[in-house]
Formats: sequence, C-alpha cells, structure tokens
Amino acid sequence: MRALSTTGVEAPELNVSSTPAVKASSVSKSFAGSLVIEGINLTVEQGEFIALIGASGCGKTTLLRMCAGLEQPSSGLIEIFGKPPAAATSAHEIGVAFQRPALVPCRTALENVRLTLKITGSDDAMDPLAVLTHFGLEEALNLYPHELSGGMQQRVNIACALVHQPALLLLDEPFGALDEITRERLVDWLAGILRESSRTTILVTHSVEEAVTLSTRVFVMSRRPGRIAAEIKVPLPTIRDFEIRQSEQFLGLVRSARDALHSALAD
Amino acid sequence: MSSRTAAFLFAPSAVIVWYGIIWIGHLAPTVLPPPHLVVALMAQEWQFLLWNTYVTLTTAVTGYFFANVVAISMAIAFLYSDALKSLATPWVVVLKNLPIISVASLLIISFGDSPVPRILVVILICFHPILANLIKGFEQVDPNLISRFQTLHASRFQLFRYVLWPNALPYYAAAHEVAFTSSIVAAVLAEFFFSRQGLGFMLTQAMNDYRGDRLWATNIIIATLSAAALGLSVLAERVLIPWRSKGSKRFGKPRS
Ligand SMILES: Nc1ncnc2c1ncn2[C@@H]1O[C@H](COP(=O)(O)OP(=O)(O)OP(=O)(O)O)[C@@H](O)[C@H]1O
Ligand SMILES: [Mg+2]
Repeated sequence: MRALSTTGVEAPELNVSSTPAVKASSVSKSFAGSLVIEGINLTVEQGEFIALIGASGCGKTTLLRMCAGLEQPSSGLIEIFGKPPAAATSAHEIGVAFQRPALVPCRTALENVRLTLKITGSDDAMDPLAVLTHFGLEEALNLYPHELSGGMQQRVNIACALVHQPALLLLDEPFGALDEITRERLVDWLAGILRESSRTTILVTHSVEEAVTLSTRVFVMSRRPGRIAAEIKVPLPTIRDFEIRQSEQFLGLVRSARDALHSALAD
Repeated sequence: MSSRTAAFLFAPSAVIVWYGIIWIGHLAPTVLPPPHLVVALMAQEWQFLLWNTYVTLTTAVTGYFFANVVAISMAIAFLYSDALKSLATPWVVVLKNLPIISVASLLIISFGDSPVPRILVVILICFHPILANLIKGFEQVDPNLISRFQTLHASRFQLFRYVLWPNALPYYAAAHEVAFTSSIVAAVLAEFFFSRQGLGFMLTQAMNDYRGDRLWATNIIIATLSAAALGLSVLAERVLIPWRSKGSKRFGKPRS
C-alpha cells in the first residue's frame, strides 16, 4: 500500500523504474482505409490510474481494444508489461469492462462472475459473492442478466472485469447507466480497492469530475482521428474524500480538464 | 381469455362446427361423416389405427433424431470452417428447394420399399430449419461477450461451451416447434407415396375405398400427433432454456 500524503497535495509515488504497464508508440488505427486513431504515444506506469476523455467516436474504445489485443494497430506498437497484448491476455493480466455489459445470458449474476474465475483459473481471486455484495447486488445474485436493470448489469460487468485481480484493468464508461448515488458509491469503492493493490487502470469516461476524482492523470483526446490533445496531472492525495472534492484545487483541475476538452473539440 | 382456455375450447367447438356444416349443407355421411360415426370407427378399428400410428411415429422420430444429428454436426462444422460452409451451401440450398416429392421418388427408386427412403424424407424436411436456426444462434452472439472471453484467454472449447452453444440453444429450441411438427407431416407424406403401412398409407387406402370415416379418423390422429409434437417442443424449450421462460420475456424469443 502506498503511503498517504499528509499535506494533501503530492502526487502518489510511482515505481517508475519498472516496466510500464502500457506503452503505446506512435499507434495509428484505420478501419477500411479511414483513420480512427493517429499517432498516439502513451506510457502508463504500473499502479497508475489513467482517465481518458474525448468526444464520442474519437477512438477511445478502439484504443482500449488494441490494449486488450482485440484489435491490431495499423501502425505503431503497443506493449503491455513489456509484452505484446496477446501475451498479457494469456497470462490473465488484463480485465476488461466493455461499454455495453457483456454477460452470458443463461447464467445468473453470481454464475457470470464465477465463470470468469473458472476460465482464468486464478488462485489470487476475490470472492465473487463479496464483490457483488459490495456492488449492492446481494438481492440480485440469482437473477439472469435479462432480469437485471441496465445499471445492475453494468455492475456485474465490472465485477467480471476485476474479480480475477488482473494487473491491468480497462474500463470503458463503466458507470454510464448508474444513478448518481450508486455511481458515487462505486467510484469510492473502486478507488478504495485500486489503492490497496498495485493495479493499473485505464478508465474511459464522459464525466470530467469522475476522471479527476479517480485518476492520477487525465488524457484528453481530440476529435476523430483521435490524438492525445492534452494531459492533465492530478496531484491530489490518493484518498479523495468529500472535502477534497470541494477544494479549490480539485475544482481547478476539473475546470482545466473541461477547458482542455473544449479546445480539443474546437480544433 | 387465456390461450390455455382457448385451446381447451378448440375440441368442443370443432365438433359443433362439424355438426353445423353437416346440418346446414344437408351432407350425406359419404360426403362428410358426422363425428359420432368417426368415433365409432375409431373404437372398432383401434388396434389397426394404433399399429399404423406406431409405424408413422417410428419413422418420424427416427428421421427426426438423424435430422438433429446432421443439422448439429453441420452447424458446428460451419462455425469452424468457412471453406466447408461455402462448399456446402449450394448443396443445402438445392436440397432444401427441390420439391420433396421428386426427391422422394428418387429415393424410393434407389432404396426400394424399406424404411430408409421414408426416414430420409423426414431428415430432408426437418434438418433445414434446425440448421438455419443453429447457424443464426451462433452468429447472433454478442460480439463483446466473445471479446471478453478472448481477453480471458478462453480456449475454443470454452468459448463454445460457455458462450456459443448456450446462445444458440433458444434458437435450437425454437426450431423444434417447426421441425418436430413437420417430422410427422414428412413421415405421413412419405408413407402416402411409398409404403404399405403407416398413417399415410391408410390415407391412400381410405381414399381408394371412399371411406370418409376412416379418412377422418386418420386425419384426426395426424392432427393430434402434430399438436402433441408442438406441445412437446414447447415443453422441451422450457426445460432447455429455463432462463428464458422464467419470469418476464423481456427480449421475447428468437424467430425461427
Ligand atoms: N470494427 C469497426 N469497423 C469500422 N469502423 C469502426 C469499427 N470500430 C470502430 N469504428 C469506428 O471508429 C471510430 C471510433 O470508434 P470508438 O468506438 O473507438 O469510439 P469511442 O471514442 O469509443 O466513442 P464513444 O464515446 O461513443 O463510445 C468510430 O467512428 C467508429 O465508427
Ligand atoms: Mg466507446
């Protein structure tokens, strides 16, 4: 566990000497000749929490899919923990929560989470029951996906992504269909468990506040073809309680992230 | 009114309509035998009817079993080999669109008066809806779900066992509603042209003898068998895919 900052201003310390969790070197991607992502350079150190914001259709999902080895860059190179993404997936180092929940329809919420463990065969896994209970789903354990609300499905989806304790967590707008209260609870809980481990996370979100609340760095992507238009460092203490979220510093960071997003869209 | 009540009302109202038509049209028993004569014949010839029903059912069920084996093997083979799928598609299309009577005549010439051509006719008629639905079931899997299993490094077998097959099951179950009912029709059809026993053969005999009562008795049996086949497939659907029949049908069920 990392030491808590006492002054409340320092960035959490990172072990920069180790291999980066994600290293993208001039990555471009086009689909059927049309350019979607252009020359992205991105290095995410182990233990970092990165937030990715940008307009709809700018290639955020595509970037995550390339990190997960589901899509090949048209040019450039992506390395996960110094290996090709395929090697990282075969080592069960990656957990993905897709934008739209991807659950097995014939299995209940609990069975879906358990199935993830069965496939990965992880010995260092969380207890599926505990995770779902933490997500406020104790009533819904034995419901099938089509019996769950959209927000409940999303929570099961996140549970499936992290239950096998992957070293790299890729979250694609995971809180989209949640109400304000559940969303805040989940964000807090996620921040909590991520702090306790050395897990690296990339979070795609449309909420600037969420990005600043959770991340160590916020990346703003330009319109399609997506490039990294700006990077905002978030030098807040790891625990960002209500007080910190009301602080001038926090609000200033939100403002500058929002400005960066607006100017990225104006280009 | 619930569909169940309506189903129960069907038999008595059919009898009433039947008598009504005879009464309105002043029809002679040779033209349209009244229900009580048909029932009397059924009571009288029940052993004969039962034997022929058994023969037809055997053909239908055997053919249906092999239709399933063929359709499932083909669907799985197509899933993993595009080349095989492209090669087989013209065959499937031709077989499916040939008039079944002409194919059946070819079969009887080749196989003679044995159960083989009749079973082949049942297979030919039944395998296509099963195959088509299974292929659709495999194709309609949420691509994100496949992606997620890929990121977990699931093996091909795990992907099939946990994602593809369960997803195809509702489609498979829906196919039975069509295919199992047609297996009865197919067996009767095959016997109608090429047999010395079975319900289909009984139809030809009754027609030659101008025995309206026997014709109607046979038809009632065939209709009952088809309804029972439908009922069984609906039941099978409930057993095979409990996660769909349980609770609300929010997503409806796949079209066959
Ligand atoms: N498989 C594909 N084939 C063709 N085009 C694709 C494919 N996947 C994505 N695209 C295109 O790439 C662009 C970026 O898509 P992507 O899903 O990465 O956007 P996004 O930033 O995640 O958007 P959103 O915020 O709406 O989820 C879009 O214009 C989309 O049409
Ligand atoms: Mg997206």
